[in-house]
Amino acid sequence: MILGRVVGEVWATRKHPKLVGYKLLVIRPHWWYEPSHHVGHLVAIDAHVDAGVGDDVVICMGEPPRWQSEGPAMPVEAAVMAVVDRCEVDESAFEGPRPLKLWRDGPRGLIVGRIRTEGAEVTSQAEPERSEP
Amino acid sequence: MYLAKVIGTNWGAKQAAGLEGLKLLQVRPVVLRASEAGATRLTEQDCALSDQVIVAADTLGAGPGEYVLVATGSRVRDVVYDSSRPIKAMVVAIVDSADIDVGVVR
Repeated sequence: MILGRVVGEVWATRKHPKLVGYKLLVIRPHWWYEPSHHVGHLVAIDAHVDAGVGDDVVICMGEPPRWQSEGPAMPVEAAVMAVVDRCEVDESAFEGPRPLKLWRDGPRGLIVGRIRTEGAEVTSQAEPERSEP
Repeated sequence: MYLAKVIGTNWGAKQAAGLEGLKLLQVRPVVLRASEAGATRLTEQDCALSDQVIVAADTLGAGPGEYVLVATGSRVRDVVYDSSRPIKAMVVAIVDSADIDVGVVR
């Protein structure tokens, strides 16, 4: 599963019949995930969560999305599994040879509480500031 | 699954077994980049396209210039076609429009 942000929605009339009735959301992945062909986005179906543009979401890739919707016979690779209210990451994850990267930080960036493991002291605790799109 | 623009069609006099009767499209994936604030629509000319060209199978009838949703992988292929087809990428939807909030992307 990966973290990403909903940046748009796709409207399609002519599509595979199994996709009828589902929301198709354009997702910008956070952090390490690089979609195929380095296109900077992926499209996921939203079967249950009803996420909107601007929401940070959890995306599941592969087989589970197909089960989550209508069963294994769905022509999808990714589905929105949850809308993120808050996300906490250990500060050490932002250092080292393979640091975590946010594609966009700031007031509307992913809400990240950076936790220091030694002493369990929370250093920079960004409070949820979720301006409506 | 990713968005892509159809740029052409492949024609082959001789095709591998399993490819008969399939339309093979050349598509260029849409690249989502940070850009100026304000909403934009995917159907506009200024949409950034990847340099890579992907060949995707199509049964929906997409034509050059149209934007499509491309899905990859054998699991999707088994649903859209059947397991005997040697296909990795296929068109699962033809995009009417895609509202992408560039302000959110940035």
